[in-house]
Amino acid sequence: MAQENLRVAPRVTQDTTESLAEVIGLLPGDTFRFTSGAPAYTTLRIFHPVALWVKGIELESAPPEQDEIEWLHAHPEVWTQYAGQWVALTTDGICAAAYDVNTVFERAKECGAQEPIVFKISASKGPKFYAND
Amino acid sequence: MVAVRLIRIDEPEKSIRALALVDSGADHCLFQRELGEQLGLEFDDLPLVTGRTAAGPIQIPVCRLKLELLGQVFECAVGFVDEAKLEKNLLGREGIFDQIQLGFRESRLEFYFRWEP
Repeated sequence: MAQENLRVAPRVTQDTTESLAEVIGLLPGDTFRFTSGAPAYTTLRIFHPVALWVKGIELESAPPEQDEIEWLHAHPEVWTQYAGQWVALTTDGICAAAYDVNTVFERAKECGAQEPIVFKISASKGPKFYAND
Repeated sequence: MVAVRLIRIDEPEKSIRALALVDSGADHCLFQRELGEQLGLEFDDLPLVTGRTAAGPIQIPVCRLKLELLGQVFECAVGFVDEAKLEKNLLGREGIFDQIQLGFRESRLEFYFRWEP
């Protein structure tokens, strides 16, 4: 998520981070950061079917998988396109897919993926969670 | 579902990343066996616990691993089950829920998560 998309919610400060109510008072879809570095609640928006890290304590604290998860959210077609297959997800998208997990790891390595997120897409059922769109 | 990294304690250079479902209905953390194989785990050497499934009891090899979840690393016992019997990796109560606070606000499709017991 680009820095310019980040909206600071000034009323969420160190004094209020103990209050969950303050945090959930944000509007749906808001991104935010705390004006102090105090540990605080982290809000994740539930998309189909992967939770997207919205913003936690500070930008630097975002987990390394944020870009991959955001890519996945932007490309919901992969859940049908690769149904029944193992896939390897990188910040650039799906770099390998196959019905055999070993093949996926091999192909991901061949395409230079350092440490992709590897998971199996169910063939039998639709998404468990649905996006808010 | 959230992204999680599984790291071997005895060989920390061996790790993989996967997606897992935070499941308050699961007692334990369960991952697909195929991912454990990629970590080089020897399942024959692991202790077994009995798990219950709709199809009846199954023996599940369990390994203590480090899990990295949302930027935090902690140790947790992880069971491995054939993917034919486990559609999704599960982050269950034991080892996870005693370290965090979480909640859901369905109307906003939000999930609240805090690293504090």
